Amino acid sequence: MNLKDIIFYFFLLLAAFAAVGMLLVKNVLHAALLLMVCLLSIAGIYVLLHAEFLAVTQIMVYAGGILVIIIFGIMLSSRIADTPLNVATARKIPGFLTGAGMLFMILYAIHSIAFSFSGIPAERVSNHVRNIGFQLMSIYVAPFEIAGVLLLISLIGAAVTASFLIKK
Amino acid sequence: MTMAIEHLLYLSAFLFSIGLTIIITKRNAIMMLLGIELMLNAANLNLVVFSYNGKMEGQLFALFIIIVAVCEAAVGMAIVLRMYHHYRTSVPDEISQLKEQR
Repeated sequence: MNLKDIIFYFFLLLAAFAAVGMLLVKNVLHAALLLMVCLLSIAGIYVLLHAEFLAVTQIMVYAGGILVIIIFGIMLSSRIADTPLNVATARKIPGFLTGAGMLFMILYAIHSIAFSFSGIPAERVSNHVRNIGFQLMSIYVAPFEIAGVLLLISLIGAAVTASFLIKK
Repeated sequence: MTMAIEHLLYLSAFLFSIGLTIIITKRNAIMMLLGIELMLNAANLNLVVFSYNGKMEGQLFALFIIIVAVCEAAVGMAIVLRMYHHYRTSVPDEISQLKEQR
């Protein structure tokens, strides 16, 4: 049990407990902050899995972009509707049963597969960031450009949809 | 090496189930968006785990999933804000009309 394993299991347990906290907490803002904890610990796991570029993207896009959008949305909607940030829960038993059923189904599927590998190699296999850059500009250039167009379209759509708020 | 692959798969399955439970039980549209983000992250974690060995396909697929998640969050939040402005409620179950009552 060296230091890397300790960090790995720390991030793993942190992500799991943050997710459980999201399920239990009443306030939407607290749930958004717990989601941020979960996403940052998943970014730490990505670093340990030699996916550094994806870890940086996760921190910048998720923790820096999506969470800011969601927190803006929480603030704006609580101002408009004058409602407290507390969330009611309903359908507890069907929801719990569906979640537990999904969990056991996936666990059964994991156990029924015989993996040909068991652990992550400790050393770097290759230069991953350089490799991702080459592949994005050569093989995957068409999905890359289509993703850019999709981002532009969705930003225009979101701006048009939300701009109805201004004019009465 | 004790950093086992199975533990990451267990974590991914756990996060996916928690996200599904959040979507079903919470009565708030923003909370449902948070659950969707959690489920997308669980899928991403699986893709990155299976692409550890010098193969880039999983990581690139996860990258495109992140881009689509950004689009989904932006459009979803715009729709939620519009919904709040119009119906003054945060509960998706209470919104049952497509047209304004005259």
